[in-house]
Amino acid sequence: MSAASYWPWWAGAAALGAITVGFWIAVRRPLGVTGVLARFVNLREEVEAERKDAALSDEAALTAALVAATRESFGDAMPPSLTPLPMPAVRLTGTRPRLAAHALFLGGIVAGGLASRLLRGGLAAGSGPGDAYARIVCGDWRACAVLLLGGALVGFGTTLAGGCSSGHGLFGCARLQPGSLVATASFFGAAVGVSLVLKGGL
Amino acid sequence: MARAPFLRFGLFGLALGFVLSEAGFSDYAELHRMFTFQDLRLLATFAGAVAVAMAGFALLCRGDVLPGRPIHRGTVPGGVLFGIGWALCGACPAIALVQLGEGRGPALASAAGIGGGIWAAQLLRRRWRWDAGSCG
Repeated sequence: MSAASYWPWWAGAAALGAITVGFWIAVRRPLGVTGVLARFVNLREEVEAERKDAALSDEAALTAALVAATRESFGDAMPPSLTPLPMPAVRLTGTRPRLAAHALFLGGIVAGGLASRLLRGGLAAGSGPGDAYARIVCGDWRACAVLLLGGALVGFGTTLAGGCSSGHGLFGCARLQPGSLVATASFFGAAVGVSLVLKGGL
Repeated sequence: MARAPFLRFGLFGLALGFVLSEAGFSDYAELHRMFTFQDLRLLATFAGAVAVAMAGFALLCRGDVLPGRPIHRGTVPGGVLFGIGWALCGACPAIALVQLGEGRGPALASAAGIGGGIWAAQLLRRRWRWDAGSCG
């Protein structure tokens, strides 16, 4: 596909900037894909925490259970009409949105890529993440090994840095957060270095 | 946030995936031309997006308390590893998903690697209690 068929820089900039701010306004969450992916890497713990939160969120049932347990321990020493003090709500999943909401978010990203290709007349094809991959990096079976290794570095690095190109690059940099500026300079600098080596320019 | 606005998460994911694909971030050749400074279109897209978001936050979210992103000891090594990986596989976490949607089969390997990398980093972090903040 020729570069000319992609959006001009200002259109992409306006749209990505609007998504970054709009996401915060709409759901009060920082934009960031790595943290969302991490929840699905830990799916079992996340599902368990969400199940326990659901059980704890029924305040009346929780209060009744606490009163019953207290009565069992202290018996007649307890006044018959016991009013428990209100407790602050604590969730095991913190302030995180429901897993299903985050699943929709990730599914939406996949669907967005699909919609873009369908509007352009068909799915992408090729032996790599693009037609030029075999020429620039490598082809045949080695490409899969390099993609797997590269992906592992991406997953490890973004988790270590506490953010990726969305969480640090867009959301953090737009607010001049020191950690995001340093992380973005680090990943961009490293990517430039490796790309120049691949190109044969160093 | 007990009742998450499901529809909004889905719509923003859809918009993000669509825009990343239309801008060409999921095309390895375009990405490589950005990282080697042969073509500044994607670089301008990214820098422009940061500028637009900066203006948006300043104008629309003045009273909001937004989470901070301090520097910690994982910031630089994590960023460098991520950059090396991105140049090798052409995918950041969001772009791997976009590539899957576009039908780029090899992105399955990138996505599997990303999942494994996240898993490994969390394992090490639990063991040595690295404080690496969070991303979303």
